[in-house]
Amino acid sequence: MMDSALLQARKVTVGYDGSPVLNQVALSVGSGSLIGLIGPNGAGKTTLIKVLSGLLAPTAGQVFLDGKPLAAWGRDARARAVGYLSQSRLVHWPVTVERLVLLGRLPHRGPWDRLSDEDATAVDTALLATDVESLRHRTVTTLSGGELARVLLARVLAGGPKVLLADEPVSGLDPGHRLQVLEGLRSLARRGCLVMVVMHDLTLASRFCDRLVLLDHGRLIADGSVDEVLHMDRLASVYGVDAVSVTRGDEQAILPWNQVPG
Amino acid sequence: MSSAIFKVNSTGRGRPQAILLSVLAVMVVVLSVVSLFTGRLGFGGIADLLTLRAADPETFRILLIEIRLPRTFLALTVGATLGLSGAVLQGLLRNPLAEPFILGASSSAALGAVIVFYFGIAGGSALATPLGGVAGAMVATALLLSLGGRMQEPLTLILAGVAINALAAALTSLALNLAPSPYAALEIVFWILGSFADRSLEHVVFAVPLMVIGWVLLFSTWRCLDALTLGEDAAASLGFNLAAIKIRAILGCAFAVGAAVATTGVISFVGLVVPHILRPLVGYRPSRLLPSSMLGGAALMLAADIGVRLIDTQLELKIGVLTALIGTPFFFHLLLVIRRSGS
Repeated sequence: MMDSALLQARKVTVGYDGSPVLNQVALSVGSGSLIGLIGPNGAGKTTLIKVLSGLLAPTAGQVFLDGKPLAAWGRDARARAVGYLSQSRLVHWPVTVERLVLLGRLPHRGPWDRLSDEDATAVDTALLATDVESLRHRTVTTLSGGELARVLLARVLAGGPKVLLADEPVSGLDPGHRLQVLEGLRSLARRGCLVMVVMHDLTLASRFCDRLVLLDHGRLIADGSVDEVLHMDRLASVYGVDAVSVTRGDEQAILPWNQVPG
Repeated sequence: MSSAIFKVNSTGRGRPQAILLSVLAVMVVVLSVVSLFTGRLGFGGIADLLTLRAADPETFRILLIEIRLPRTFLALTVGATLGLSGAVLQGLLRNPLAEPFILGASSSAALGAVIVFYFGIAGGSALATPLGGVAGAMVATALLLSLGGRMQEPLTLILAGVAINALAAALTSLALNLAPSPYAALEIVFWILGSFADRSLEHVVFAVPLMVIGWVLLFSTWRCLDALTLGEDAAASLGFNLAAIKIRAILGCAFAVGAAVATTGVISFVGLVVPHILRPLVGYRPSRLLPSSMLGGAALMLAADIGVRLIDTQLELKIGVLTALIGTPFFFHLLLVIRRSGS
């Protein structure tokens, strides 16, 4: 099980004595699942995503991708394997949607390569998968927040990553678009991609994710199914809330209800 | 293949790009020729020069090879340097206000050159002065990126530039104050105003290779500039080594701008205006902006240098004065646009 894991964090620590941002986090995830990375503000979720994607080197410990230390991967090879969707949706120049999505192909193209059939197909597929094909020739500055979020997701998908690490991909979106983006991520996972998503919305996390990883104060304190991770005692101790469980068909979701005095 | 990308790329965008570069290149060639035939006494036609060559070959040689040619060649290369470094700095910092002059690289390069030249370091040799400029620009650009590397707000970055400019101005004032003679001080002041007049082939020989080194380093950042459209984290996740890219941009700016300023003095705002005008014509793609800004900078500089020779003033107008007079209102305009858009 440990050896077949696609992405592994071994005793990852970030920061120094006192209160490290991440403290000895150990995690092992395989392909084909949608994993929710949850935890209160300041728990270290964004830091963990950055370490797993190779953007931040851990102070101690190591990350392994396909059994090989992430640091030993070449930059381009790593960029082809791991897609990272930043929390920031700031696009600095008013380029077209198509051009923006095409940036996802950069790790696949040599500096002087012309656009290949493969590049064009990957962009087309990504635009269709995120339902933004009709926006192809629009300038990104004219998009709504929901459209831009989907276009940025298409940019990552165009790279065809084996691992997709997304930092709050649905924050700031209306309910319809949240469901749409998460449905898209889940179907991506069903097709064999490892998708890990930082989320604040416990209701959506519990409804969509196959597995939840809970961080608090830089430590991984729970890792498993929704029932294992989000039971009432833990919601009270970590988030300071109590919650109700909602069921429809065979799906279940957690709905935070009251703040509890802690 | 029905993909729209191919349609756009092969027929929609690719050709206008080639047309834009061709138009700019033709402008540079035409303006270079006009520049060669333009003197303080106005535009002397080819016929006049041919007459001169027949009548007095030695004067003709001195005029064309030793006076006009270095001037034209420096206007072309310095303009290209300013346009290119403006485009790279704007792409790297994702800030339309970034420019060697506004960010303090030009004034720091001037300070470096002044220190070397007037205080006789390395005997004030012809190569030492451009190297002094390179050193000054390098310190300023490195300081700027360490101060403002993570500054996303355009105006915060400009503040860092203001601080560096103020420091360079203070130290240049000190140099003026301590200059060996009042004439030396006056000479510094006039030199800093920026001009291509009275430059020799020796200036070209020492400055241009340093500028070319800078161009190569600046151009080497081009792919990363596109990726930076998405921000630094996304660019890093696409496989770019941002630390290395920044060092190349710092060194590139230092070599190109340092050598340019050390040879011609401070010429402001070219790096601001040129990329700004050309950006919509290249679909706002930072990489595409580099060659066109280079050609555009060269064309603008050649035109401005023809202008200062044709404008009838008692003393020839310094080109740095002309670009400042035109560039400053443009800068105000950009500030207002940015304030209005709230970014």
